[in-house]
Amino acid sequence: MRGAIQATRMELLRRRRRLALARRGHRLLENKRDELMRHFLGLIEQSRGLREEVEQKLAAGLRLYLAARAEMPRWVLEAAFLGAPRPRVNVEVENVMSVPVPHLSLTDSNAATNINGGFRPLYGWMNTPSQLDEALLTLRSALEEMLRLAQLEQAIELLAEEIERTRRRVNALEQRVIPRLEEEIRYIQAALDEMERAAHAQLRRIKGAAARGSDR
Amino acid sequence: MSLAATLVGLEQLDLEDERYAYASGSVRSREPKLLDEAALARLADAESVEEVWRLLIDAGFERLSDCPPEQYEEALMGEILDLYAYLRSIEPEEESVTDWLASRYDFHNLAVALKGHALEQGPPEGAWVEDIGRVPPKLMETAVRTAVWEALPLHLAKTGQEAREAYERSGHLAPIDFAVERALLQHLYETAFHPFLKALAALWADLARLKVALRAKALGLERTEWEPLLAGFPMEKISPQELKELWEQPLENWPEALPGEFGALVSQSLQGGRWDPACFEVLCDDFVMEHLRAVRYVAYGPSVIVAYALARETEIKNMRIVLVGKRHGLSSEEIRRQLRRSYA
Repeated sequence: MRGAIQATRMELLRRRRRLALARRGHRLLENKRDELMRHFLGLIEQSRGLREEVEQKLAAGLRLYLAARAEMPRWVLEAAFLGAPRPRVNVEVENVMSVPVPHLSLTDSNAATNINGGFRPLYGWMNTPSQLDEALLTLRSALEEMLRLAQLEQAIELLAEEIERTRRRVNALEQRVIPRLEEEIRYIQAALDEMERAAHAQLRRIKGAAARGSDR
Repeated sequence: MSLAATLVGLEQLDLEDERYAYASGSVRSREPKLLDEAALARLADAESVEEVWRLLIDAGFERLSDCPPEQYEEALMGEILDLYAYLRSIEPEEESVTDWLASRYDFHNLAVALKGHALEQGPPEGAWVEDIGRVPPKLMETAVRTAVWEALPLHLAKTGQEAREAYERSGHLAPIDFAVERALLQHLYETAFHPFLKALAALWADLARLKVALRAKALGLERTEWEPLLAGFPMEKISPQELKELWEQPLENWPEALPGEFGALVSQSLQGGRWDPACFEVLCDDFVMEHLRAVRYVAYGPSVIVAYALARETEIKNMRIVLVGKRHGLSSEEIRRQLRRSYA
């Protein structure tokens, strides 16, 4: 490869500029990796807490639902859930440090089911136990948190990929690009020095020859 | 004098009504087979659902031996069908206490038909209750779909029209349920042909109104949202006006402001200042059962039939609570908390 390098001052300047650029890029990528890592660890911590919360809510919601189910014959349950709103999930994309992260949100098919930010079940209250309300409220809240968890876990996955990509770039710069440029600069510098020394020696020889000529 | 004593007193005035002598005698011979508190405790303490199933078969629920515990819904539905077939077979021809009770299932089917029609889809088969009420579900569905209300008995036709209007005004399904439930309570109250039935219907209406108010408060509904839910109940001990005034006050103040027996129900459900709706519902059912138990000392009359029918329905509900609880691993303690008081 060295054979392909032209040992010129222009080439040396070009290599030095590229080295400076590579070092700056390396520093920036290192900063990006560190920031992504910090964000990543924060998300991991959040998701761990959220997962515990979701699991607790699901268990509580299912327990309440079981208690409600035990009090209702099947025909009451089937009639109660006739036309129950089907939640829809909206997916939008947010940009977190140039990583496109999905943002998930929940909407009811029937907006009028929302009351004070809560949820009113669409069934009569004479044959249904109030534990059914509590179960649905808890399970709905669990569903919202499951979406947040899914969003977090997807973000974690995407950030992990981005961290890996950034780490590979940092390593490539650190292990290959920068040492190679440094080596090339050293080579050009050495070649230029050599040429300079050769030129200098030649000049001295010419000067010596010229001095000997004038003596004669 | 308590309501129970009033009921018994009223019943005693009716002693000369011999039309119910055979039916009452027949019911009395079956009452010892009802599960008592000790039997319910044994069920709750059973190790597994299979053991519960075996205990129930041993207790005389022979129908259960025809199917595995997984098919408990079908088996319990069979118990209810058997109960109503039995009641129809023993009651006097002149007046039907069974029809009075079974009208609850007709109203349920009406709500199912209305909701199914509103959704422009046939309701699932499991939502219908067949062979108990007086109106077949298919007839109900056709009448609602074609709006030929004449095909239905007058009270159902009127309720159907009102519920449909409520739906058209709001665009939501809940008003259908609430309209039908209010109409049912009104119907039970108006068609009660005996003071005991009248008092029972009034008690149901009072408890229903109180439950609606407390449930709405627990859900944080605005007053304008829950007030319409209370309109149209038969007026008895708790008036909507009283509930409106109570609404602004914290739950701790409700027990004193409500009539004695209802106040006690709310008070017992406020454990450590925390509202326990499940406990309140159990207490309400037990409260009704306490009144029904007074009928055990009545010689004969429609109250004997009604008390037995409701006792059997409560028993079936208790069986469901135990079976569902055991199937899904609820503890004996949790199951016991949900169990209703037995008539036996």
